[in-house]
Amino acid sequence: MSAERQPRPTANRAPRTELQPGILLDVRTQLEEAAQAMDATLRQAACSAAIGRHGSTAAGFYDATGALIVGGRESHPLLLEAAAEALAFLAEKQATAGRSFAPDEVYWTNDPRCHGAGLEDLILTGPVVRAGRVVAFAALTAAHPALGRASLAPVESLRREGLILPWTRAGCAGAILPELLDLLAANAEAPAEFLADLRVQMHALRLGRAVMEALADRPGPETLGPVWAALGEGPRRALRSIVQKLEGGTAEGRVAPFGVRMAREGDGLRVVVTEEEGTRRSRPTAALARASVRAALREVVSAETPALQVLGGLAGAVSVETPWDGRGGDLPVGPARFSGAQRLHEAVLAAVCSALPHLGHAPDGGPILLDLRGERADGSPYRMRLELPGGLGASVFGDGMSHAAPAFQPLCLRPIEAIERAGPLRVLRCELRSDSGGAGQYRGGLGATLALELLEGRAEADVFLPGGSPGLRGGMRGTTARLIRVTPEAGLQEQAGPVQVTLALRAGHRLILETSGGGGWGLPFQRSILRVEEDLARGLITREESRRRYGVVLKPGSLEKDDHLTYRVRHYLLSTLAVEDIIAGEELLD
Amino acid sequence: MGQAELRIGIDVGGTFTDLVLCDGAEGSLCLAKVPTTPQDIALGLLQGLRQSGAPAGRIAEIAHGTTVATNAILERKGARTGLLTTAGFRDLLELRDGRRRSLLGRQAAFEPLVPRPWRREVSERLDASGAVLAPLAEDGVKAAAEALREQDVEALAVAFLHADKNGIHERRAREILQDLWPNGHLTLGSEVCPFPDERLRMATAVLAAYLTPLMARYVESLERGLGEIGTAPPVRFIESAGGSCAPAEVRSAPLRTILSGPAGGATAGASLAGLLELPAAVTADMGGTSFDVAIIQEGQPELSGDRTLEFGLTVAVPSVAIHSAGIGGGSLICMDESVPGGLQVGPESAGAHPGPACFGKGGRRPTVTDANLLVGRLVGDRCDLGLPPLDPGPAYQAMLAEVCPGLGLDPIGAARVVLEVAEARMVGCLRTHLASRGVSPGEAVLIAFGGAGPVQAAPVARKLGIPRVVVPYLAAGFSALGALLTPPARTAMVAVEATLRTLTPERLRERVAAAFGGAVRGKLRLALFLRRGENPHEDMLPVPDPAEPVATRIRAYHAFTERAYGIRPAPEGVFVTRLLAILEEGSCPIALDRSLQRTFARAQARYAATAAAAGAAQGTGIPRVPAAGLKVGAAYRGPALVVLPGASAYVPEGMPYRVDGWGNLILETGE
Repeated sequence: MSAERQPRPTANRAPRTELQPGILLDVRTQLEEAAQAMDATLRQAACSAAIGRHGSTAAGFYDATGALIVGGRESHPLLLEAAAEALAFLAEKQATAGRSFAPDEVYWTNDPRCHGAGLEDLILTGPVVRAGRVVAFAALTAAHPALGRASLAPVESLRREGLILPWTRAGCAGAILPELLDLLAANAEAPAEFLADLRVQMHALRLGRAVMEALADRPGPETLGPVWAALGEGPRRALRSIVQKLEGGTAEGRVAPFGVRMAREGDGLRVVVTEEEGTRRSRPTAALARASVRAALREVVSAETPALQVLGGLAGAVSVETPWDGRGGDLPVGPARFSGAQRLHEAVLAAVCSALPHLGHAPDGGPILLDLRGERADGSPYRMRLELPGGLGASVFGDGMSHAAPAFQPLCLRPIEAIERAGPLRVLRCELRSDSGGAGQYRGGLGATLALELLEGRAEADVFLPGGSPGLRGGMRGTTARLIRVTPEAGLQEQAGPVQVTLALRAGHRLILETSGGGGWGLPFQRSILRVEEDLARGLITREESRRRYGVVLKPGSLEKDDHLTYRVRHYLLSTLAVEDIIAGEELLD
Repeated sequence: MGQAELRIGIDVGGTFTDLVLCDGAEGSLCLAKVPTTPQDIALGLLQGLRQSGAPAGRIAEIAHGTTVATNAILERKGARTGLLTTAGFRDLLELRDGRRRSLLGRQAAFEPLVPRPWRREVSERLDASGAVLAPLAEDGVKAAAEALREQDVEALAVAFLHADKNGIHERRAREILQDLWPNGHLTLGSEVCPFPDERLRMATAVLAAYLTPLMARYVESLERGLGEIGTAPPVRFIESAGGSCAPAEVRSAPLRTILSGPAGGATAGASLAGLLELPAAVTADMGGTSFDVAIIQEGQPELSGDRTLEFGLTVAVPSVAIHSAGIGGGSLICMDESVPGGLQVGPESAGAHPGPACFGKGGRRPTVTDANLLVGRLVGDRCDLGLPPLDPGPAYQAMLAEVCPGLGLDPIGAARVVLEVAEARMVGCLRTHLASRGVSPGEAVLIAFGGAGPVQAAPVARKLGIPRVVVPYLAAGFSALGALLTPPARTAMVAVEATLRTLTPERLRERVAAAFGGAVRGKLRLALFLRRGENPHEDMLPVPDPAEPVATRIRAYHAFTERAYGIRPAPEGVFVTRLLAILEEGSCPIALDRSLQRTFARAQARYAATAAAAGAAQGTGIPRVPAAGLKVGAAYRGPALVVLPGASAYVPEGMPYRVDGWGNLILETGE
């Protein structure tokens, strides 16, 4: 096994009994609140949409080995774990070089080769040092599209290039070195806004670091070491308990293009990731894959015990093996940079759900990302990024939410009026996409439809369309994302995801974007007829879908159910099931 | 009491309904408290009036902070509401902006206030400048309204795209609907929210429509109930932004009362901060269910233009910026033994029924109040409120059963840990919100009130580094006192299209005049909402003087951003989106200075006459000190339980404290 795949040793393991419960709880609550304050400050003050509107930030505290101790309640879950990978890299690099951290230093990176998350995800960290040893790191990650030159443009485009910052000492005494700021400004698309956001990130990091510094003084490093160990023990214990419930200690799941096999390994869990051959979908780096697996497992352990959601502790208990270990993976760049990590996350959930259905959910429909660069009739340029979320996966607890962003891509749709006021565009409609949610005993959330028309000038649009989301436990796949271009010259042209395309648009051209629905859960014809009728009344599914997927047949020309035919169709569909499937379905109903 | 007028301030909380009675002759105040009746709030309120002993004929005025609107949203008990909107966009309410409820985990489906079949599309279209692209299909409006009426829809919201630029189609739709919708419960998006962002406008219009019939019924029931007890005084409702308005205005604009209760506390806090000449203060109102924080600077509470009431429901409503954490005296404590640090305090609350275990009303789960009682930070005697004493027995048993096994401690030790966690959460809430306004804890004073606020204030302030705590004498009814202190006011929020650099005093005056439809007379409070880049967050900038030069305003904004964010944004890139104006149309009906002095002086005289002896809290040895027995200005040192009407304040060991002439208990937490 390579060093990369080894579970990291947990720093300062110490018996929990040495701790007073009050100290443990007090430290945990202080760190949780401080992380929340870091995230909130940054999101409130930043100019960029990525931070301010979408909330792509992650605040956390990490031990001397880089393992996550406590993260923010609203932190981006992948960025939170990715920072742990990067900090482990930094700690090891410093140790290898025989260098130690000094108080007040600030380090940064956005380099995936240093196990950073993506090119635009800048990790800022401040080590808290006592007696020459690191007590903990306070770290704050934020997405700066200006840094990564985020774009959906093809690889060969210059726009795709960004600035790579390997782990570097960026400053001290809580400030970034001015010459480094000059360097960044010279390479950023919108230097003033980018530098302002960076300063805010630094300011927010100081808030969190001050709390950790105070804890390092009182109760002090001797107490904090055992506190870190005790806090991490909670998620580890919960994970062990879950692993024990897996049949034979193993579970498998697949969400294209990734497969996941989990197996008990000593006191922990080994996760082996496989990949479909010849896939062209984005593949996370090995570090991002590990972060993604841990984020998924954190979701699983906190499904039953929400108090665990902010705690780390899994780095020491989970080893991850990927086919691309040591080979890098794709360079994570642009708004779709985490789509591969999202799929891997869902594959882990699928594996867990195969044995323990209540701990996860079906995969989410990904968002459509549109990057539009155009010129008005008067020659003035404009640029607009639009994000249109899909539907979320259903679970054993109910239908998925319609039109919501997946966990790793916290995006949101701009107001329609803002779109029309920012560029020569008219939105023709924006509505739920009927029939898009994966059919199931519980239906996947619906995707959305957005129809746009270019009013003047010309434009170039890069569009990322995600693939469909499979259902779980007999649930069906959510409808795949679709792009329809309507032009006077070529009429109607249609493309389905997963794909990334670049389109040339002229005045009068129309684009219809349809996002994918979430995966369904459970067998569709076991869905309550009442719920199917409700969906019909609300126009969320069509008559055809009702008949074909759910076996609920309507009388001609009305929304009234044909009881006789419905009974016969459902009875027939049920008779096609194997006994095991029926039992499994009934178990789900329970 | 003489024959002079009585003014009554009422605050309906989740657990108790508080009444503060101000005797017009002497200006002295007294407090009454009755359990809230969630099933019919007016019932509890009228009961409180009866119990207060106020002669019906002497009631000159009632000022009322209400939670009726808030509860209706939480419990989804508003009217059956329909929506008319532009064709192609009926789902915007359900689509929201696409955010998740939480970042991890499964996400339950979202149910908007208006179900899809009641969201009807009408053919019409304006462009981004407000010009008409497609005329309003008047037959479509009629057909949609008739279809909704057939489905027993009671209230109707009309919200079209770009109506903030031009409300012509919405107004025409209302004209068409006048006859078709005889109950008159019609709300236009362009009137309740004349700002860009169709989702905000639609949600605001829908919520206003959703609440209108309910609030109209509540006002009617309250007025009828008052009549039944033999009085018909003028009633003022506290507005979310801190002014007060007449019942007729609540009937037509119910959104104004959405944060009515907490606004009373913040208003009282601001008045007290002004009286004590505190440049920066933070109010902490801790009742049974929540810990509400408001920041006061230069005697004015921070204001907000939008409010997220629950997931997917953000509405434009001027309000005092109240930041809440789900932690109060009634917050339930639970222990997950599988998790180190898995002790949870709140947000679930024991509420009024059964309440904390120590209330002896059948509650078996421990709460923060139980923990306070067990460690002796709470005076159990509530006879001054006509309530039975708190019983430590059930509190002990509840702690023993629910928390002790997980912590491996005895109930007293476990109670201490519970309080540590509760205080850490309060510290976090305060730290976050002080930081968001760029206020350093070291320069702020904590004004603590509510039934539980004075108990937790000193340890919280000490942990956070706030050097001083002020506990008002009527802390237990401070929000009700705030209701009395809110002056009649008109509140308006108007759109502004300018940058920080281009908003001249002349343009500002023009917007103020537009807000109130002409000349402005009275005391004016102004705040600007500023936005930068693509961030939807808006910063609030108070405008102390509309005539101040642009440079002064830029300096004030930079002073704020430097402290809060560590930056000085270029004024050209700071967009002024809205102006919030509050025009006080009358003076505060009571003089706080004299009222507080007389109230405390009377309490001292009564105390001296009865010569009540100071005792010790049960089993803890912490001296119990009636506030009225303290000598004004004299220095004391903790530990102490200072007994106030309906509440007690905990002073930790060694902490200096004193009482001032207004009866405020002042704790020097920084020493």
